[in-house]
Amino acid sequence: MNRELVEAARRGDRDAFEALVRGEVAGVYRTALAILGNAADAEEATQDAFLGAWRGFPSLRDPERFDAWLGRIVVNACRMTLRRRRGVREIALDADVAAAVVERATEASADPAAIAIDALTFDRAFESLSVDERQLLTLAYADDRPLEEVGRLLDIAVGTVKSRLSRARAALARGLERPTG
Amino acid sequence: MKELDEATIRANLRRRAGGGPDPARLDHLSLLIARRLQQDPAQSWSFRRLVLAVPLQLRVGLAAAVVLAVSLVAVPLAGGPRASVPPTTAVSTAASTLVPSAVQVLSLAELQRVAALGDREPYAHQVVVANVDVVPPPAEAIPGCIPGCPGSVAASSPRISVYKPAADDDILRWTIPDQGVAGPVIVRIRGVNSLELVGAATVDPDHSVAWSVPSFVRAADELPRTMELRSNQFSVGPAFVVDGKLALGPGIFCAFQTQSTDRIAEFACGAVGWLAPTEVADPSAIIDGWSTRPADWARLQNGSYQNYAHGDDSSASPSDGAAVRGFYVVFPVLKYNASMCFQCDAGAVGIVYARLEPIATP
Repeated sequence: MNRELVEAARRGDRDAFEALVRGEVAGVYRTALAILGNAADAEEATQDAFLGAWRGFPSLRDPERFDAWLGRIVVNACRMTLRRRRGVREIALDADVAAAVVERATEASADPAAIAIDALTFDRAFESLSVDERQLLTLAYADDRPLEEVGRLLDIAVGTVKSRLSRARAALARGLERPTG
Repeated sequence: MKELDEATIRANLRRRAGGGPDPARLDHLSLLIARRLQQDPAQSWSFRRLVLAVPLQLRVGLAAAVVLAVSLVAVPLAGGPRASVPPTTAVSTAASTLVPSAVQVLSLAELQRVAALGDREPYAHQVVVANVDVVPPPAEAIPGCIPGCPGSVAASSPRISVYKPAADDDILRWTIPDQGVAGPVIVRIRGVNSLELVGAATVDPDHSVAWSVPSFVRAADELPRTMELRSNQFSVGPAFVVDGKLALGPGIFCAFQTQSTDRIAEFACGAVGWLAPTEVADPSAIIDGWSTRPADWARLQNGSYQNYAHGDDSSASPSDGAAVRGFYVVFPVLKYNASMCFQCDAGAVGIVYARLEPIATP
């Protein structure tokens, strides 16, 4: 985080905010993509998040907490995106498409065996979690951040991070047990 | 419980996150954000900053004064369809900031009174919008009652049951997800304290339930289609309440039309329906003379005019095929086989499900 840019953006400096966007957009998009699972939704949520941040900057009291503040906005943007798309009927993957997804996943993975087994099942289970749980798992595992940093980003204590991670993993495991269809 | 090690979680989440970021995509995204910032009115930022600078108590006082002033103006003018009102009772998460519009949106208390008379006229079978949440059945009840186990209206007393629609066709395949359905919702009254869930009513960016036809067309265009993996798969989006004029187009006659039960057949040969913006004085005149369809109209399924324009009010029934203004529940069609969807070339394509009629609340 660049504190000077945050301060300037907070004062309404649009150029500073755009510079801030360029610095943060990769992380925000990546988080949104992991939470939402598709690029179009992630792009929409990323745009909404930054627009929300711009509009809401006056409410940021402590610039030091910009990361956590932006993280909450991203989660809310993802939540809104999910809400908007909730009525879109999902079409079950047929066997060919499922195979293609698994193949694509396998190619992209550093650990093909881990993914190929459960790519579709994992996604279904993951998408049954709350947006907060998805964010937590994404920060801790996809981004591989230390628990202390996750706690700072979410504005919670490390102990709370651990307990929430444990609950989120348990929920994910329960999701894997649910019948598909 | 399945074994779920950290490596599996990590690998799958990285797969979902798309591996390393694509610089071109991120540049494009930054550019889009910059454009939206430019379009964002600067005064809104300044205004918000100004508002936030005002002490909280003063803001609350000002808000109360504005509400009181609006009430003094609006109440004497009330009549006809009721204005939307936020729920007055503790309803979990239903939108509490709906902007009043001419669409009748029932509060929980109103829905309770209407649902209590749900087996008699004029309430039976009516489709209504209510600003309530729907919650799923208790988890422990699920194993014994699938399928058809009803959910309920949050905070209802007596309990109002919410069922999956009996007409389980291409459009209405709702189930109540674990997290429930956040209001406002569109429901059909099926009996005493018994409803069918048509769907969640999509709320527009200005927190209004009613969409104009052009805004509906834009919103439908922006709905994600990435979940559809088969290019010609017919699928629909969430329900919208659209304020528009339902118009009858010239019939499309096909000499060798084959019978089909597929939904897409409703967009081939037959009596074409159109939803035109309310500002259009005479949609029929435009339809009769156009060379290309207006892009801010919505193409509706064949027969929609005959089935929905008249509503239940015979006095409003057009005898000459004139367009009929109303609030229509419309599902945008997101994917269809273009070769079977005539005159779907521009603007939105939608399926009308119902025409909303204002009802007197007991």
